[in-house]
Parts: sequence; structure tokens; C-alpha cells
Amino acid sequence: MKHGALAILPLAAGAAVYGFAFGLLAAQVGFPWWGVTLLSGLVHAGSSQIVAVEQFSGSASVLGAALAGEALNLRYIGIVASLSEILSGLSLRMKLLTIHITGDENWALTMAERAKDPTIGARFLIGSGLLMISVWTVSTTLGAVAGSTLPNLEQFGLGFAFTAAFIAMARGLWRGYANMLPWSASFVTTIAAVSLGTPKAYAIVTGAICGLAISHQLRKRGKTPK
Amino acid sequence: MTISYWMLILVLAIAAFTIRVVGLFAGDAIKSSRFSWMLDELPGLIVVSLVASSFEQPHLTGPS
Repeated sequence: MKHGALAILPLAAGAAVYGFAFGLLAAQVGFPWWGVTLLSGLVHAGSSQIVAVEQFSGSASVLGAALAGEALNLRYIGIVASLSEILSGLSLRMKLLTIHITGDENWALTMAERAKDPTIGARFLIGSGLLMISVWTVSTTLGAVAGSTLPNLEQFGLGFAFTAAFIAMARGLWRGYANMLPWSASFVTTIAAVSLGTPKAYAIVTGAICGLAISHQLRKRGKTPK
Repeated sequence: MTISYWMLILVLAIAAFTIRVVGLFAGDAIKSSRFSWMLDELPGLIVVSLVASSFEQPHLTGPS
């Protein structure tokens, strides 16, 4: 677990800055610091929290805000599904805990590291997940405590910092030319879907499904090793 | 903090966890089916989709 916690530190540092900014936003909407602590600890899905709180500030509709936020979480069906082998040796209680502390960053890091070293598994995922949820909860709480005294941190390009991190992780998951067509299809489909105004969550799901369809066709034709 | 704030936290928490549980049981079902190859393909495809979507809307690509 220590290995996972140490490996995720650079990504956790980025998450802390983003979490602090989210805390500021939530405080402006009216959440007390302890409410932000509860929100981050119980939900642990940063992008959906951000969207939900933004929607909530505009309409005060709980259902609308929750739907908007959770749409971003649809990708977790695929993310958690891909952990099946890693989670197979755990008890149900540990599985439920692990999927709660699994986020984009520690999932992608675990999968990338596992692609290079098959001994990487649940302990790495749990260690990195525990660190990430701790950093996320504490940083959002500190942001809420600080209130609205700091400028919008998004203008400093934090979004691209996450993009760069995901690109680095994709390199670890790359298994050769067989990935070229499915990955290209996913990339182009997602870009097209977002450009057409599709919410990000649906665009990600659409892109992944399109890539799966291409991969399936390649396997049927025997162009991809099974 | 009014009841609507509490409701938002509760609904988001339940919905987020439910989605993860669906993934957990969908994963087990897929693993024992002829679609198990999807588990190999999904990680790379989702990361690529995350990258693509963040190029279009970097402000929505946050930690989770």
C-alpha cells in the first residue's frame, strides 16, 4: 500500500490544488466547511462534485444538480468493471471500500503500473486510493475554510496539468499497434461528441464504446492477438 | 446548512456509490462471459476518452 501511496503523490499534489479551488466554490454557494468535508468524503468524485455544486448554485434544484453531477460518473461503470481481476481476491466489504476510494487518477496509475508489472494489484490501488481521498477531502475542506479570498485557480492551466497526467498514463497502457485503431476511434469520437455539445460524461462513454466496437471488429477478423 | 444542502450531499453520495457498485457487478458478469476481452480494452479506451474530453473542456477534468 505504501508503494501506491508514494507513487500517487505527484497526482495528489495536483488534486490538492484543484480541491482547494473546489472548496472555494462550494463555500461561495453556501456550504459550511464541514459540509464540504462530508461531500468530498462521501461522494469522492471531484468532477461530479464541481458540476453538481455549480448547478446547485444556479438553480437550487437538488435533483437537477445531482443528475448533472452524476452524468460525469457514468465512466465509473467501465472503470470499476476493469478492476474485476484486481479486486477478485478481496472480501465484499473490502471491494466496496476500494471502489469508493477509486478515482480517475489512482485507477489509471494502477492500470498503467500493472501493465508494466503484473504484481501490482489491490494493495497498490488501495494505498493510492486512501491517499487520494484523504488529500481530496482535506484540500476541499481547506478551500472552504479559506472562503472566497483567492482568485480563480483555473486560469493557471490546472486543467491541462490533469490532461498531461492522463497522457502519461495512456503511454503506460499502450500495448502496441493493435491499440491504434480503437484508441483513435475513441479519441475522435469523444472530441466530436463534446464538440457537438454532448455532456462530457456521455462523450467519454460514447468514445469508449466506439473503441470497443472497433476492437471487436478487429478481433473478429483476427487482426488482434486474443 | 439547509435541508436542500443535506439532500444534495446524500443524493450525490448514494448515486456515486451505486454507479460504482453497478460497475463492480457488471465487471464480475463480464469477466465470466465471452465479453471478457472488454476488461483488457476498457482502461486504455477510457483514458484516451478522458484525454480527448479534457482537450475540449479542460475545466471539467478534475480529480475524482
